[in-house]
Amino acid sequence: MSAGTNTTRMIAGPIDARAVADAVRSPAYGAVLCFEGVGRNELDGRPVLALEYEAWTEPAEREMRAICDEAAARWSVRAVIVHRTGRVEIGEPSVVIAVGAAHRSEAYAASRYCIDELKVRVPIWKKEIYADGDAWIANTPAEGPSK
Amino acid sequence: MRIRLRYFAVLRERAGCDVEDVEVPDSCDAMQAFRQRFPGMDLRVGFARNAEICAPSTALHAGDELALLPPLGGG
Repeated sequence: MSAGTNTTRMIAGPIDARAVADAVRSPAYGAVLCFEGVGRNELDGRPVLALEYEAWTEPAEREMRAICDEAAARWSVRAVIVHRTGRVEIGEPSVVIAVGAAHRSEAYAASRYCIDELKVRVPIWKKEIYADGDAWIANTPAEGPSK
Repeated sequence: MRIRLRYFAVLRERAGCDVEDVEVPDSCDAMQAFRQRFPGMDLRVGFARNAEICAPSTALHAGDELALLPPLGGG
């Protein structure tokens, strides 16, 4: 098990998604939902070899905790977000969001809220590495209804 | 007056450093500080003054740290 994945934070190494999910379990919860954002191997047909994440660590962790607190207040859930910094290989999770809730509807809603808010509020930047160069990639607005 | 600029991602690479102390006019706001340091740069930049998110029109004071935040890419 990776160290320190049981609370919301930025980490430099691989994320143990199971450990993040375990951090939100409770006898009162009938739903534990674990979302992984995973490095993808192409952007508009261009092969991507790896990702590189950079964060403003302390403000990023503060903002992620605020998002988890908002989700907890709104849906009576427990949410934990762990996001990586540094190089992330294709197929590895760059972010894991675990939500524990009494029922599935709250879990799905809170999980969606966490990832959508993270993308627009948390000071993290992503660079895609290509065979012949690299580029910083900005998030686009969330697709579909989220709240 | 002197302020400190903090850079990330594309701006960090462009500047070649994480932080930099720069001289700006006394009446300078956040956007003016960005434009002075990166003239003509077309970037949808956000700002944080002393680690708190702020508007482009936020007035700066001597000794402030202004973080320049390129479009976010987390997730």
